[in-house]
Amino acid sequence: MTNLIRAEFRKLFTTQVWFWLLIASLALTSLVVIANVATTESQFQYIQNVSNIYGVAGSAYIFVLVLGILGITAEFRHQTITPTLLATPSRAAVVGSKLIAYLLIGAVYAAAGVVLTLAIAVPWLSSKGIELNLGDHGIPRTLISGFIAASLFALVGVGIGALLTNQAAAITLSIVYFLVIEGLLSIIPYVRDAYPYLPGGAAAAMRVTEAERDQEYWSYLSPVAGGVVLVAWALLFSAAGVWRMRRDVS
Amino acid sequence: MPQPGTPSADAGRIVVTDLSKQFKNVLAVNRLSFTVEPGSVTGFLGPNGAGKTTTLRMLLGLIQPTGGTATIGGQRYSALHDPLRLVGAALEASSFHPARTGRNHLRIYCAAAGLPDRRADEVLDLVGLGNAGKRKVRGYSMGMRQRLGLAATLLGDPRVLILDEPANGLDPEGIRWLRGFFTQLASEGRTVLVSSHQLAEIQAVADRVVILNRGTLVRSGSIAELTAGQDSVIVRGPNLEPLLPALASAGGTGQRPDANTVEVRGLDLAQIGHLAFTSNVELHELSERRFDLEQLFFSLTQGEYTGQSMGAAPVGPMGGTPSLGQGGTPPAGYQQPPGYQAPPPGYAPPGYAQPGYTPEAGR
Repeated sequence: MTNLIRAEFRKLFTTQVWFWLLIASLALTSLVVIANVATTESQFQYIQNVSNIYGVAGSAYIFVLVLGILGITAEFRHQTITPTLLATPSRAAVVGSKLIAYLLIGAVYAAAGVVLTLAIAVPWLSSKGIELNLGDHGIPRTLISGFIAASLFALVGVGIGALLTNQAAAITLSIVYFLVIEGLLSIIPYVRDAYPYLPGGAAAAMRVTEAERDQEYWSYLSPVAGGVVLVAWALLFSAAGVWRMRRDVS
Repeated sequence: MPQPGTPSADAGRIVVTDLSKQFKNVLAVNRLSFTVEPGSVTGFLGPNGAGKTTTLRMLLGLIQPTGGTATIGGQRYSALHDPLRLVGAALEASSFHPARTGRNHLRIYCAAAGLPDRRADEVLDLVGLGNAGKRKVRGYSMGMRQRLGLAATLLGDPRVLILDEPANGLDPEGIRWLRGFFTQLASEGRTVLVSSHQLAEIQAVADRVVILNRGTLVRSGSIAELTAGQDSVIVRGPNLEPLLPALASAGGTGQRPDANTVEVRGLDLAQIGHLAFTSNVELHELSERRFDLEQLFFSLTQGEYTGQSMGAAPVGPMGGTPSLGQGGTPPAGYQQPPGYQAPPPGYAPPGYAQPGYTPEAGR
């Protein structure tokens, strides 16, 4: 398995996709942080804005998701899946090694987002005379669970990629789903009862503060339960992808 | 790691048994059985759509057979412990990420198979890509991609090589190189199974062939065996009629592609020349026609396309009917298609037609 994970790292770092996605992820994160810090003028607004300022997952996740999708669909697009499966006939081992490798890379992306967030927010807010109280207001929890949520989206991406295999379809469908469809599902009566258990709802559970947990029509899961549900979705997609790949690959 | 050349029983033998693949509406491979022996180059031939690539992909565990088994060294590919050390396979010439260098492409599979990274450089040198390894595959020519694909097959020093159309896109220099490459690999005791349309190339390198058509086995065996006794002599002259009885009584058989030509089997050049001399017949050509793989291939697969065995029916001893080699008269009840015009006397379809030979399916 170590060999396979090493092979996955080589696949990723011998093309430039990882670099440009990281740049894009950091660019969006900094935009979000800048916008929220710029509108934070008082201590009260600061406490209201904690999850927006420090919720790295809110912006980084989409790029980690795309990275995970590319990690597997690029193999189908360029037909390198053939030599990959010739070297490792076990589909489960191939997808499993990608899950592990991309979880680690997703964690690096998320960590970079956390560092950038603090690098922008801390000096700027301090210069506005705001008391940061980084150990308070649920800030450590927001940072940590945001970091974990963003990392876990690498698993979701690999799972979706394994299931759909078509690169354009996988990226388009997943972005539309997470940015549009899930938002719609969360407002439709009855359907919205299930929203906390959907991937986006589960991820949001890890990002929101304690005060935001109970919404009008539903309550987010606890952060830990949200993480477990998100991982479950990723593994479900992956397993379906492995099952699909057991059949003809050409 | 098994050393090529050490005769450890059937470690490098490929055995395909009763293999079938049903795609949605197409039976791509139909109860196919054949064996590929170590230490030989075996050509895997068949027209487009015959099921060659499907068979190879089933052999390599990329396509699940509908029925039957395919094993390498007695095991299914998916059960192989360390597949790259036993089997090297190159399927399509485009299995590369265009933005990755050739060397990095190879190093990925070194990592996956637990091989040392220097193998990447070694195999690049072996296929003559030593200087191009650090360039992106995007800038490679078709021939260079083929070579990179071959390099990938050699990473694990495997005793079995499976190559799908490796000569595609190679220039004449590359094809000559490939020929030497195959011969070298087989002489080291490896099993080489190579599919190709380039029949002349296969004839130059292969010892054995497996011929496939419409998903079923047409023939398999050594080229020498399959083409034995099939050489013929072309005789041309303005008036060959007096020669025909002489040829027939000397034991020759054959056919007449046109009025001025006879193709004779069973007699050699000197015998026919002598008969023409004693029969006082003027000749314009007396030449030997070697029966090669290309003719064998077409004689075995062509009927599938013309829909009828024109001119391929056995022809008796010469001197009989004047319609020698014309495929005979239509059976009773046969209606000519609309617009049909009877061919002129002495007409035969263009191209090669082989008498005395009926393809036997499943041999």
